Amino acid sequence: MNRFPRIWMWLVLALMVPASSAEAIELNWGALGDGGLAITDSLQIRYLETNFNSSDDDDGVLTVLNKLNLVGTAGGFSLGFRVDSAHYFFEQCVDESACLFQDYVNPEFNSEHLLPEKLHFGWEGSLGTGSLAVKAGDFYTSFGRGMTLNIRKVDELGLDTSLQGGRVHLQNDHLTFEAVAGRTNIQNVAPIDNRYLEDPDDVIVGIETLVGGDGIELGVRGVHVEYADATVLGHEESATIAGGSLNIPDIAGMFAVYVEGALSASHDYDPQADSAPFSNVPGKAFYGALNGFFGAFNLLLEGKHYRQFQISPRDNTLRTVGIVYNAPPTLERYDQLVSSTSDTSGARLRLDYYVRASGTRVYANGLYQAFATGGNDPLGDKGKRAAHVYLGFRQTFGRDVSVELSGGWRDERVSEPLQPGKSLLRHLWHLETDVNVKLGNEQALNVKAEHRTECKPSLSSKDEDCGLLDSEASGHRFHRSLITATYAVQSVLRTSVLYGYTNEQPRAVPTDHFGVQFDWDFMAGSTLRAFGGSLPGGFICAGGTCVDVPPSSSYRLEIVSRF
Amino acid sequence: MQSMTNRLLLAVLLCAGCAPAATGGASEDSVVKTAAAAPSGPGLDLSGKRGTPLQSFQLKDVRGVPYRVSKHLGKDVIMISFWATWCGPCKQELAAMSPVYDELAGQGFAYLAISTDGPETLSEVRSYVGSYGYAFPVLLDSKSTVLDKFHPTGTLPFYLLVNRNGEIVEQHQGFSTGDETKLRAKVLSLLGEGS
Repeated sequence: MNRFPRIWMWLVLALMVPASSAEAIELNWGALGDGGLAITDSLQIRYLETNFNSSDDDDGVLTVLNKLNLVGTAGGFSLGFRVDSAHYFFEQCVDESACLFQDYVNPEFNSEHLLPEKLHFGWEGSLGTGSLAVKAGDFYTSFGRGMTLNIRKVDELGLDTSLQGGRVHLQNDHLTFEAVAGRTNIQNVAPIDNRYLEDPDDVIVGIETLVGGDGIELGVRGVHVEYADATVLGHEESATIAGGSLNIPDIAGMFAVYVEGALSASHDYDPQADSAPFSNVPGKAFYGALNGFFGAFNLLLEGKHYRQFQISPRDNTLRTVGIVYNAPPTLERYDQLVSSTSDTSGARLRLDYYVRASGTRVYANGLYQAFATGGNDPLGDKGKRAAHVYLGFRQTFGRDVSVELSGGWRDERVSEPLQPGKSLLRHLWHLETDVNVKLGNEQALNVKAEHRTECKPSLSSKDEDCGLLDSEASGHRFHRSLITATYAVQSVLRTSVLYGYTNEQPRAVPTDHFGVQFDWDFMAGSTLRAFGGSLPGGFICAGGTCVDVPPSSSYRLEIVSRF
Repeated sequence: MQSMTNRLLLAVLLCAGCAPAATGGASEDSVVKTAAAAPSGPGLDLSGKRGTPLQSFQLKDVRGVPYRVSKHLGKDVIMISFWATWCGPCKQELAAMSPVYDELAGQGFAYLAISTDGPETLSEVRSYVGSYGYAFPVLLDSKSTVLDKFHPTGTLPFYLLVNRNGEIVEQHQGFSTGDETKLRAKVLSLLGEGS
């Protein structure tokens, strides 16, 4: 509790400073010339009333989380750092030492409360007809389509992983070269539940070269990972990936082709093993995309073939929150539960058509893939099949009204069911709508709604109307809906009300959820957001990883200040 | 660590003290020649406003051609919109700004739509913008390196407005239907300032 005064200092800082200035600060850095200092502060105060699980110990948690980000620039130089500060207060806690700190908060972190999250120093300048950028400290990077390396911020999941080390990036009209080396640095306070997560500290080195000219670009890349966490188990683990790509972005103004492939080898050395202490698991990945552009009509055909191909931290907790070091394209919808990206083969076709005269856009998407878990062959008897089709259209009426409606159907089956005729593993249908209406010059209304009805395996309940399942589990049928209506005034004040419904078992105790949120852009670039209510939770997926967001009842105040 | 925190707070508060000089005010000399068609209102006139110089950057467009923002710096009014195919309000913003760009591009307005789609959805970007036939440049920032420079929190949509002196005069997070009317007025204000 003696930490409270410092919390109020942050709050005062977040509220008062932007009131005096809402723009980046212009400065003269002497010999370096004119530049600026951009300060972004994000303060979140969240009270978690309950997460509807069977335990009361993790309810009644007040979290005060602050992220302060400063970036100074002058000429081609930049220097920045980010400091996170988190404070936890457990309502159920009588004796602090006996609380959930060991599960929720690292004890050392809890005594210090400050995390120097990121630090970077960089220089960018011209080099002949191209550019050269050098960076030391934290940076993001991805190679190709993320197949060999993908260390970046994933906004959809709230993840923020960087590589802490050094990067050299050289680019001109015909050559792009990048070399990186560093240790993996994650955002330690998990975005979903504010739990403290340790940095994996895995070491990654990589090189990528793209050579292009006359509309063709060839890429070669290699990455090596040394896992630090494996040493806890007495193992020595590493992975090596090498790959290449061909990119032809413009063929006669009508087509674009991109193909990429990679081979990987995961090494494990277990000195405790009596026999065969060394093991090597080979992996492979191939991906291709064909775009067709025919005026208003556009086509996208993609295919993938991945075997034992995923590079991620050894710590299961980190995998659970969605942290991976590579992310080959899944071909799935961004919001779709992806069962596996490491063992899967499939293709999808997407068609887009836009009629400019009527302001009508229609699209259709079909996916079919085989997948497997546990290192099994997706095309073998342990494999599973998934088909997903969705259609949608968006209609605009002048400049004031737009309506989008989409819906789809998904079906997953096992290849060889244990009981004849019981091959269905999971199926669902979904509907979404998004309506925007401009009301006069100063106001706007947005209504979004989404619904899914799903049957999935369950050990605790069974619904006959699922018509399920593979005999390993019973079927549970549930519905989940979320409706949000937002009223915006002068684009600076937004009021949203939401209603959510779910009867998914056993995770959600209440079926009905209500919430209210206010967003106020009190200065240019600065926003105050207040939320109160309950949310049904559910899966959020992006880049082949999914995060299971628990249902919750909470109150949250967030101030993002930029000055 | 305690003393480090206090030093940090002190530094930040001192920086805040520099703010009034940086904020500037509306220039009496500024003449908004083309603003007659634009609605007036508080915050719509950005003429005379000063800001931080925009650090130049280079990205590839959807056809793989390198695009340097430096060719607009100090010459055009630039609006940089960060968006993604999975972001609904972002796509609204693109659709709403397209006619504004079509109208004002000839007067020195550069609109750059920077996609932050990661590897997962990168292949959809060109199909999406292609079917709409947008005339403005669409650049790819799949590593989020440019977004992170200007907007560390990363929430989309996010835009920057840059005046003819190459200074960032406004940045904003979020988009609601109707915002394009105000944005058009602000762009006209900035265009008038330098002409």
